[in-house]
Amino acid sequence: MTLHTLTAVQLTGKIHKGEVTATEAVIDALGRIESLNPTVNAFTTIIADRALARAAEIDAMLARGEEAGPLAGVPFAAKNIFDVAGVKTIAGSKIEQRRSPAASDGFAVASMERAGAICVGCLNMDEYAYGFTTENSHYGPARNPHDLTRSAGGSSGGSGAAVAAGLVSLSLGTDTNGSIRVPSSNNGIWGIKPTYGRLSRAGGIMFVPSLDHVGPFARSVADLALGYDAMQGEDPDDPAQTWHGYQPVSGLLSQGIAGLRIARLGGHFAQGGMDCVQDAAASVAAALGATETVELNLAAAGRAAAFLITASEGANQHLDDLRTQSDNFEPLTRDRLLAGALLPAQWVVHAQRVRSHYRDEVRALFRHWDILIAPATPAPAMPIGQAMLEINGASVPLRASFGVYTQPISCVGLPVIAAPIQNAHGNLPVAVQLIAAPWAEDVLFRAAAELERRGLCSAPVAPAFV
Amino acid sequence: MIDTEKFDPLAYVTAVAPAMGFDFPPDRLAELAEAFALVVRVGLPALTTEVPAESEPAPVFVA
Repeated sequence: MTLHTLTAVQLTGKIHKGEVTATEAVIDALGRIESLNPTVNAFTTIIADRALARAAEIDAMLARGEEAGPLAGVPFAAKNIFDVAGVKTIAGSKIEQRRSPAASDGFAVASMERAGAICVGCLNMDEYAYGFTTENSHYGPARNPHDLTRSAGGSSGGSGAAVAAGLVSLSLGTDTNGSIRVPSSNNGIWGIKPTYGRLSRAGGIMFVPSLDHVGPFARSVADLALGYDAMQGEDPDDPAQTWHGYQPVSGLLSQGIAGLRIARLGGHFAQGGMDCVQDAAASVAAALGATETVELNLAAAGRAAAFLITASEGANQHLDDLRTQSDNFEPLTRDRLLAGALLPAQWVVHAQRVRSHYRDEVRALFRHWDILIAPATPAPAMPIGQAMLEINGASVPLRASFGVYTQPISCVGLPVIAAPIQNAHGNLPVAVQLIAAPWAEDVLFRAAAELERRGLCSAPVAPAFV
Repeated sequence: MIDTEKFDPLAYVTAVAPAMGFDFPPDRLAELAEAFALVVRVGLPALTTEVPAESEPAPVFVA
């Protein structure tokens, strides 16, 4: 039986019915990872023994007639920035190899396991999450399953590639400036960056605490919803979490979009991208009945504020290592962190005040709209090694520019679903951002499900990996 | 917040790096100045945005 093209919902359904065991599902996933990971370089660690032991526990629970969770037996993997018991949490770095293996799972990983999912390994990423391409010189680049010469995006590039290649149906990533949404776009899969403070980030390595989020990737909206629901939970160990109670979305997917006020973002979000990403945003807008285009004032300033805050706050996490062992940093990361370490305090405080002012503009816009639509990336996946991006005749630094549409959104913590459109540029996919007001993830899932029902947005396993 | 005509990334980095505990040779300072200049270039729309007096720096996102 072919398991790797099944969604998590389909796979756990078969496991619950006894058609497949959790052990068989894990063995199948481990086999695909062993044979195909050398091609995509999504995994940095595989934890077969632990996964098989957990699968046996799930099978035993089901045999006894016990409830094993909504994701019972579904293999998943986590970006190597999350703590996984027994594995060193390296965040894509060489420096963190000095750590002892994590003593316990981080909150997100533990939550997935409580829901019955089974962690099979840890995933490649940009060093310390500072990048949009996962061109990691320590562990090699994560390769795009749609075109192996191209980037899987970043910083959660391994998380994106693992799902698109059908190695797992669910993965976990983090998003500070776009690190879930960019890999969603490059790999053509679903991803959600929830409201800042919704999901606990405890048990892992932080990048920019005032901008860091966690979330799942998946190949269907129902799977994304199950992953998101599983990751919810109050956690006093994350000081930034604002607990709003358990608000599951899996039961809302059939509600449709009637009554939702939906518009497309123009201005900053209609400039500087290739035609294919603007066409994708237009097609999503049309499918959702969004006829108006609105402007988000100060979006460019918000994006710039996020860039400055990221540089400064990110550098602060690593000051000692930057002083004493800068040569051990990834070259693409090192000088960006060093530059951030030298930013004048007044610039950073001003950037924070711009963020606050911009947040007020965002609040005002969401009095009139429930969902706003924008491209996720300015282009589809770019060739690995490419440093510059040509857009409308202008040449801009690729690694600094790929978050041009995502940074203004995460800057103020808004929830976003990245909705994938296949073959948007030749055989390459792109994603479109569905953006809502804080704490309104529910409307995003309703819209995403509508796009999936209409057939416009989908996330099958990349053709070369079926 | 910044006078881009007068601002010299290499001079700034050369002056500030030692104060922050970084000891780099001149060629590395030049590379670092390039990285700093990129941060300034991308950050400029924020640095040139005027904010109302009541805009506080605290990152509060609650709607």
